[in-house]
Amino acid sequence: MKKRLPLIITAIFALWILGALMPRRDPEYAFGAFGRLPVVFNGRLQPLDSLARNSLTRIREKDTANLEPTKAWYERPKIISATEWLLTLMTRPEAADGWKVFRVDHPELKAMLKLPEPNPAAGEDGKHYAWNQFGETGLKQIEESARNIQETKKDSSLRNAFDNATLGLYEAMTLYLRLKNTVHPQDTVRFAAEIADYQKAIPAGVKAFQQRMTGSDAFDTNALTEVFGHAERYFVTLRGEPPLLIPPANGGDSFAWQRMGEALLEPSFGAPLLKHLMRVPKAELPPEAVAEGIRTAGTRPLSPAVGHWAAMADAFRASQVAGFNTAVASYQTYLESLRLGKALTKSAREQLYNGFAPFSKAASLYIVAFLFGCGFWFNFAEWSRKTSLHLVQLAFVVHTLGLIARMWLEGRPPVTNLYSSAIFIGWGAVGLGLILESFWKNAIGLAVATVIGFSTQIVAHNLALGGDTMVMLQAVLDTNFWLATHVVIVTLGYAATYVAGFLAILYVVLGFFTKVMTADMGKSLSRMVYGILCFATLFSFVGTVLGGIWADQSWGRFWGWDPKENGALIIVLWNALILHARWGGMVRERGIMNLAIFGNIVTSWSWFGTNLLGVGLHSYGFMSGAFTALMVFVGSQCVLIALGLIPQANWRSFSATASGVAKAPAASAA
Amino acid sequence: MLSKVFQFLSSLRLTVVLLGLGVAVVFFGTLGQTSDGLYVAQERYFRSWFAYWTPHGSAFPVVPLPGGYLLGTMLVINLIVAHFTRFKWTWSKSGIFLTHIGIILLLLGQLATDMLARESIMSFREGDTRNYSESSMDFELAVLRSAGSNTLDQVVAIPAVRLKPGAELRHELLPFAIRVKEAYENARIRLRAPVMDSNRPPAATQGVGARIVIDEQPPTRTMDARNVPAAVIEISGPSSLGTWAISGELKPQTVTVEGTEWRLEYRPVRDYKPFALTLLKTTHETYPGTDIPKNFQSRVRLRNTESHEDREVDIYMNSPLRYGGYTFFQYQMGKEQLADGGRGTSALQVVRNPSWVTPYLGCILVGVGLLVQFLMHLTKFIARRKPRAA
Amino acid sequence: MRFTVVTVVSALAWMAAGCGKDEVRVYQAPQDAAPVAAADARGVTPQDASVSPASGSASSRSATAEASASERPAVPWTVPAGWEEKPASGMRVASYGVKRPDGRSADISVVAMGGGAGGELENVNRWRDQIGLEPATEADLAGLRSIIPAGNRQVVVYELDGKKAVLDGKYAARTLAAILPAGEMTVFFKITGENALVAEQKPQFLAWLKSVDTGGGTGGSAEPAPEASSAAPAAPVSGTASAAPAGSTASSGSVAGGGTDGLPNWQVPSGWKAAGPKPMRLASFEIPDAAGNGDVSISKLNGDGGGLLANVNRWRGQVGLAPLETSALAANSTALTTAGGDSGTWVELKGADKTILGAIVARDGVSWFFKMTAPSSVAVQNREAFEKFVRSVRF
Repeated sequence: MKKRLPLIITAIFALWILGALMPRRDPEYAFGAFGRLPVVFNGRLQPLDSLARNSLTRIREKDTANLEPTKAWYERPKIISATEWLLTLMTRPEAADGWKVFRVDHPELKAMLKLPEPNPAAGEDGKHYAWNQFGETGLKQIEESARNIQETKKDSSLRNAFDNATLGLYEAMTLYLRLKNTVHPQDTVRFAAEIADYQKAIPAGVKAFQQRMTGSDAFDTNALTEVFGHAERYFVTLRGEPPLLIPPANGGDSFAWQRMGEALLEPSFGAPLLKHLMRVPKAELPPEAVAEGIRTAGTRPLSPAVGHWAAMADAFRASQVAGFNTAVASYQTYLESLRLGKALTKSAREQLYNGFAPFSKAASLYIVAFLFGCGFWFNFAEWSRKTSLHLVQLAFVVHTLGLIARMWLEGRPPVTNLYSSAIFIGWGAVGLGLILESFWKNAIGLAVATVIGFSTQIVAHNLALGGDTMVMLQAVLDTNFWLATHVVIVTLGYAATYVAGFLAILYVVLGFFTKVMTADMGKSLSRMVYGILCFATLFSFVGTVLGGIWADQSWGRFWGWDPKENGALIIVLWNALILHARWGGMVRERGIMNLAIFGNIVTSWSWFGTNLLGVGLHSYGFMSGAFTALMVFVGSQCVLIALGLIPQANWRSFSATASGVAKAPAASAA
Repeated sequence: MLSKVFQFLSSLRLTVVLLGLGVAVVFFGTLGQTSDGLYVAQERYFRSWFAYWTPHGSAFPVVPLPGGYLLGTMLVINLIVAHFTRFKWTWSKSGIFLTHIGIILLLLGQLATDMLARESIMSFREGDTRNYSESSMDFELAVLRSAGSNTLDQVVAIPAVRLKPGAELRHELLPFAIRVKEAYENARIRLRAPVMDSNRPPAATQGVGARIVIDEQPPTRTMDARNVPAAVIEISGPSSLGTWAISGELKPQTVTVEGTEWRLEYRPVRDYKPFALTLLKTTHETYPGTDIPKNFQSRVRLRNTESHEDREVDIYMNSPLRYGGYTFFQYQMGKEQLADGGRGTSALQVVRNPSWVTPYLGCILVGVGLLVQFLMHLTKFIARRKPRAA
Repeated sequence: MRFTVVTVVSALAWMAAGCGKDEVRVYQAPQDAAPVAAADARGVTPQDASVSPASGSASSRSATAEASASERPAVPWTVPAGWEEKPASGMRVASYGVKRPDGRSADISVVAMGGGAGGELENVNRWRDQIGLEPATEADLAGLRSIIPAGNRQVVVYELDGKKAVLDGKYAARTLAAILPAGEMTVFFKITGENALVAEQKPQFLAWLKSVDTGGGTGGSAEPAPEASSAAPAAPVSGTASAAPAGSTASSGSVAGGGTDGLPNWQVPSGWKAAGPKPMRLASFEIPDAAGNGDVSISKLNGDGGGLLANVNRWRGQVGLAPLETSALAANSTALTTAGGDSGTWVELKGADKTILGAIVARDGVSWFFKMTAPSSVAVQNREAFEKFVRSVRF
């Protein structure tokens, strides 16, 4: 039985993961099918499901909406999916405005906006607030303070927690408003009927418009006014830059998609004139654009997609389940008739990927595997290690699948931004841990794999709170060759340095606090650290140098002392230092361990710290949360180094008695 | 005694100390960029022999550091001496040997780049032709005179650093002396308002200087702004010809000295090329519905009258034009003009770096060396473990 | 061998420390294109629009240089064909002339003056006087002026058609004049001359105005006229389809909308009407009154705007009071603190028939001027409202 236990446990977890891939049925409204519909936002094509999740995460820090935040989980609060929330916000904003989806934590900010304190009786949890609760004055206040902060504290490192909370809320509100006006102006009641009226008014209106613009006095003022009455509303929706909802009628890539407002206005004004009108404020129009606009006005029909969206919106607003589901299905059929290439497949797969959530699943597996790994040390049961090993292998497969899925969706190498670098560092560390485990079989590789695998997921999760993790790359990064070589290799170098650092931490922690560590184990740990450091030096050096070559190719400067470049250089120098110190006999086992722990600080600074400086090409602006986290991490590493500096005679493992009790069970595990 | 010195110079202990100091210099040099800006920090920490880091707001230098030059030199000496004294050549050390040669090459290459590489900017509007690029940092006072032929000017270019208050500048080609009255590292020019500026006299007595005032500005250190220097100079031939205001913001002014017209122009240092580029078309694309730039592209026409070359080239991100020892990289692009249907503008970064190949060689050597060493370790390790595992 | 390498390395490194950067260079270079083009070329790197591909952020290394290129006093415009350059003299920044063989001529001038340069009415009446027209009243101004877009600005243009034969006793004159606020200055562009000739030159004059490169300007003093930048769809039909309610929909939660106008916040007393754009002014209000309207203006100048005394004395001059000495300033002004906590100077200047109430607030190197000009009786009635208004200012 004990022999099969590891496999059985692993199989159970594998089933749990497969279960997440099964398609779910919607009992009422076809939210699944709706969430699969493609939309262009942040410059990329994505399913509405992604737009909904990323937006809700940005606003609420979770990708589901809890409509009864005061209820505890066992009281079964009403929780709706991001897609349902988005659909409601777009088509029934008056309902969505009453839902408490804005997360506000900063006490001063709450006080400024006069937001209610926690009061379960009144449904207030003191953390989540509804759009309506901000009120007209609250909105103005937020906007004013945000503007004020942006102007007076241009340098983001000057901003304090309150400033960042204010700006964060302001951005969340802006996003909320953009989404609200995606399908139609937010005060629309019956969209289909409105469009019908508008369509009817177009021919006469366009004629009057052309006459007016060509200087004729005899034009139909009423017809013009009618069209402009509509146009004014649609322009307002455009100004907020909502997502691009309308696919090009004759196929094509994401560049040809339009916002609802554009699709509605183009038939009246013609594309060239519309392009200029959209850039406000612009008093003077180029005469060519006007002429071209007059010529093309009224020549294009309204896109059929507009009608489909109106049908979906009206049906959902009227709570017609069947009507809504039919409308979604018929829009889906219409989309399939367009030559959209991979767009629909991509959209569907991304929805599947979102639902699967491979990285958070892997993270859960890493925790379980870590516990089994610890079990091995404290009672030395091989089945415990085996279980841990299989679980890590399973998690590694899921982790890898997630990476591959991202690569397919983005059409990019695995690392494109800070978020994916966290995912990839975790992946690399788990891979190295598995390799170490295959040689030593003492659960140390597993401990490293699970701890780093899980911690990097935490980091990634926090980075994902900023919104979409698959945003498009700026022109300079738009090169798969260098992303695949420089970025991947240097990130593996980071991963290896962390692995060495965590091996060293294990050495200190297990040695100081427990009796698990034996001289033998210490020796094997030290060899692991040495081997991994060689690997880290190789990868960080080659990666850094490739970065230099990329820089030379891109802007003619091999080395520009950019903070991120410097960070990578520091890692190379530090690793080289450890290796040379070892070769020169200047440090022994414990010394290398301490140096390797310091390597964690060096790597974290290069990975995150340099981005926080707010200068250079890799600057992402100052993130105060990240800064605090970095400081806490650095502090913890310093404590570990201090422990490592205590003579080994005082350690529990290496004290005089320790050598003979290698097999003794450690009942008093810390 | 000498052997002691060599022992020290070749010791691994020195290597470790140097590497540690290297980490410190790079770290503080990076921190320094936040207050000093990239360029100044580079000069202070990396292109220097000694440096010190001062925390923001502190008046005292707190952390003394060796500069980049000192560290680099010491590392090179350490490596070379070590190889001639301590190292015994064996095959098992071939990787380390290669790595060290590569590192020496990288260090020397960086030094050569520091000295020899020149960066400048060529910016133009669609339709414009340029046969020179301009420094993005340094200015010069160009004193020009038509040089006989109709197309060539004779230029005497005085670097801005020479224009210090009180300096008197003479040159054999100039029939007059230039006395510097005032000099500003960064200043802005504006028309003098007779009503409002009643308490401020005009900047100079002659030329446009008689109608302007110079407002001194604090020198900027950031990457996205540059200093525009200004100065007030007195021109004196046989007799004084009055004072003139010169500034990077002013157009050329004409001074007549004994019947000859001279033009004064305070401008970014120019580097003339034996060929010319014409900007034909600029392309600026963003991702749909965003401001994220997707592509910048400049189509230029390259003409070299000597070699009778005349061709069109596209320059865009990650795809520079290499010609005549120069490399032209897409640097900036004016988005607004283009969007308004006007003439697009483009700025190309022009780099001349004769030593550009050394880092490539160095990298290959180090990469191969490390790989060899790493693989040797790995195979040895696996070979040793196998019998035990079996 | 080993020594040579070491020596070479250190020698190279030493050289790097400072080589040849401050040498005077002599070279021959092809001539630049026409001077105007040269200036143009340097101004190409656009200040706020350029996007560095490396960082993706709107930044330009030469931002400072380019942003201020607009203030380059050398002519930032294209001179129309047929205009002959004349030496600039006196107040003139530039001067051109057009001559016809039959002796008819027109004179074109550009004059830059600090501040409001005496107010619009005063200037218009001076020009009217020059061509033999009766002075106009403030109420007439609106009918006389037209606003045309030039570059990124709105320019106020007056066309004055003189009937009397004032030129050489045989020709009637005509004047076209444009007022363009540029930073702290007001620039006047004017063509005046024989009536028919000026009428004939009008297109050239307007084209010339449009060619004036005013750049981004320094202060917020030259915002585009509000009515011209209102909601886009209204633009092509402005004045016709007034049913399109420009900007009326902004009330539906405008967190994301709008752009900053650089103005402080304040509370406008009831009864004041926002008035149209005026040169040098950031905002204007009108206080309607049967006894003569009151005029409230808000403007700002960089620095101390010429000094407190100079400004107070300028205002004193406008209501016919004698200038003060420095020593008398304190006795004739009081301190005032706004709601935003900024302190300023408050003056009340009662003239024979007009009264000026004003406050000058210096803040962050900028002087803000709040001024009410009104017939004395109106000023008394509105004194409290104006003071409340000034005190409500928050930057």
